[in-house]
Amino acid sequence: MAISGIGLAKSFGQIEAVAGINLTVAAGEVHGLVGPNGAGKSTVMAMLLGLVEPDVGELTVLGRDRARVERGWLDGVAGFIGTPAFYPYLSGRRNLEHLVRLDGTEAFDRIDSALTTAGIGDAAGRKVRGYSLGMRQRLALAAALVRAPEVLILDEPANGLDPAAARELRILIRGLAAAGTTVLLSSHDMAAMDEMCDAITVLRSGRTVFEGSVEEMRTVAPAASHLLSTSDDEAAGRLAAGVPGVRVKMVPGGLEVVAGQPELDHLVIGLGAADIAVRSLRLKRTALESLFFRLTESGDSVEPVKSAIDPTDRTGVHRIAPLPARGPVRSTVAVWSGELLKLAAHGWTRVALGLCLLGPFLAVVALHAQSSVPQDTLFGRWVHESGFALPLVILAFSGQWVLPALAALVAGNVFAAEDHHGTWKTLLTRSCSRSQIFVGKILAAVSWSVVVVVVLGASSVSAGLLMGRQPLVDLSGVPQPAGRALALVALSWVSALPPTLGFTAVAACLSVLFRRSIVGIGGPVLLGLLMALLGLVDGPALARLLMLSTGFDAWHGLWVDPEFTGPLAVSSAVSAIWFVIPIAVVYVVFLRRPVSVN
Amino acid sequence: MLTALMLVSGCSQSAITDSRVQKSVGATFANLWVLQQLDQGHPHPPVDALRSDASCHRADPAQPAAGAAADWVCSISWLVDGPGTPATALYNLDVMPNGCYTADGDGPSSLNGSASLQTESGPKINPLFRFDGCFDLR
Repeated sequence: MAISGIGLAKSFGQIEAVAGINLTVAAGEVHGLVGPNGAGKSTVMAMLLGLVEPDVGELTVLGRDRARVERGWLDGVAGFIGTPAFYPYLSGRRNLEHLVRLDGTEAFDRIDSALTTAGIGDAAGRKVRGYSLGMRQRLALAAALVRAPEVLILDEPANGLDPAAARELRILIRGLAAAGTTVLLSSHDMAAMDEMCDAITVLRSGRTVFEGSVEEMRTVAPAASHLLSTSDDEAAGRLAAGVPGVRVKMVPGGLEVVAGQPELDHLVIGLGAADIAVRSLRLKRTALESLFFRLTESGDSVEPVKSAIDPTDRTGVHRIAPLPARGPVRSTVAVWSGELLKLAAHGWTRVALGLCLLGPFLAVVALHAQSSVPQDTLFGRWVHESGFALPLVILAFSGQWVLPALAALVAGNVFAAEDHHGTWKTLLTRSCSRSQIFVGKILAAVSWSVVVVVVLGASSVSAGLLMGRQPLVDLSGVPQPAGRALALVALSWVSALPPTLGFTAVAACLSVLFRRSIVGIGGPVLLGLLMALLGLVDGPALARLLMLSTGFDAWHGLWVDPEFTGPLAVSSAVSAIWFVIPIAVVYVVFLRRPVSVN
Repeated sequence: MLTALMLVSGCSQSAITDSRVQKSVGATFANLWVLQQLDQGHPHPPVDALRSDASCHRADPAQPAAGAAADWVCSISWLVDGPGTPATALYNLDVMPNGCYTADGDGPSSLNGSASLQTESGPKINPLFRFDGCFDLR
């Protein structure tokens, strides 16, 4: 048995989405999950894809029990749910490469064939933001196929596809099943389900109202419904009313005839014999559609057909050994590197890094162009005397809001962007746990913050050296020779790292909690400015030291004789607190929060 | 939390005291005076021999000699060339809450009245015209 669900139930607050569903899908079977909107189809599929935890019930996929599997639940399982979502600023191929990276497999060589099979190969190089819904559906299918799944879960895969593409999809699904893949799919196209599926489960209001093979369904399904148009509809209606097994009623454009195939044949022959020409005969509703409407709309009931296989019978369960689980470190590194590649694809990260790189040199040009110096900043009056003053002036300025803003640019967006693009369901249905994704994203945000501090610091030093290498008079009035001045400048910039990482954590925290980039990015900048404002208020050392922004002044003690490094140690400790507490809080929130499956 | 910090900040005693200000300003001035003499090519005694000493207070006598403010006044005395050669300089200080300050020269003008110095190598910044310093708040 590929999939076995017994008594599955799930509520979201007061809403009972699934209320005791049984689902049994045999290996290599194409199984349709049908029901009106809100019947619980997507929730069941979300359970199978690990996006939703059932409140009660037993769920087994490929022999693995959901309640007992901690890792590797999705090994051998792939699919998508709701409207497929990808990163719009990446091409289709880059999106797949990112997802393959998260899978931790060496499946990059399967990407081309998956794209081709899904019929999106020609557009794979285009950015996803230009894709139609149908193209996204195809890309989602490719993203699933690249995992070479044993169980494929497809939520309304034909959405947005034209009739020809939908037919290709049906052929593909049958082909996959013939090759041994188990397919569970939902659709509103009942004719297509009739054509594709080996078995059907019909849901209504979170409950199973029918489960069985298509053949079994046909035995309980009402007759199909046809639209009949003739040369004399009134006469045809009178004639049809007299044919046993045929129900007929006048509708605009002709007659609606409900009859089995032999009775319908008999009627058509009779019409011909009565000199009534049949102008058209169109299938209005298949047997499955008729059953579907009967079960889900009319409130009618049929005796549910029991599955041929008792889901509680485990004797025939073919247990497939779980695939070798990857180490958590490797998975986390995969998320981290994927996030860095995504960052590299963004124009605004390149602009920000470019400004960090060129900004100090522009400052040199501006200082050369004017005779005045920034006297209100420490070392500002020495910028024309020593090249080592410039990086310190830039450091003093950056600590006020530039470094918090640069850190928040990524950290404030790294989680919220997934909410914005709706890509959590895409991300969380790969072979990475939530905790690995969380840690990988935090690492990416931290990496970015370190890079911007290093780049801005190095660029400031380089720009300063263009102005000369004369000794720099320190804050005790002692000229520091070039070598020591350079070392002190480097240490001063290093001291900016802890508070910058503190702001990184605050930004990431806001990004998780509010799910909006504007809050994640703007919040830390406002917090930094507010702290700088509070820093202008004189008070006890303890109150000052607890503020994150105070750490940006910790380097001052390095430039005093005798130097005092206490503020550096305190800054590191305070920044660690500001880092650890928000991260720990949002880690718990992140692990527990539901994922939108729409 | 920030509001609480602000309230605490506003109500508690400052770590900026006259003794800390005086110690820092006196020492920094001495080093910069030697630097000024060097720039001008004048002979000078070692820094330790200057025995510089600063006396600082708030301009408003009603204010205690503590806290960040822009109205600190320091009178610095030192020995220009050994015993019997005392000199005095005045500075107005803007002391920040982070323990850093800017000292703005207020006489004598020959010492700290001009922003630049004429030296043999051309005009240079006068280190005593205005200078910055910092001290530990702990």
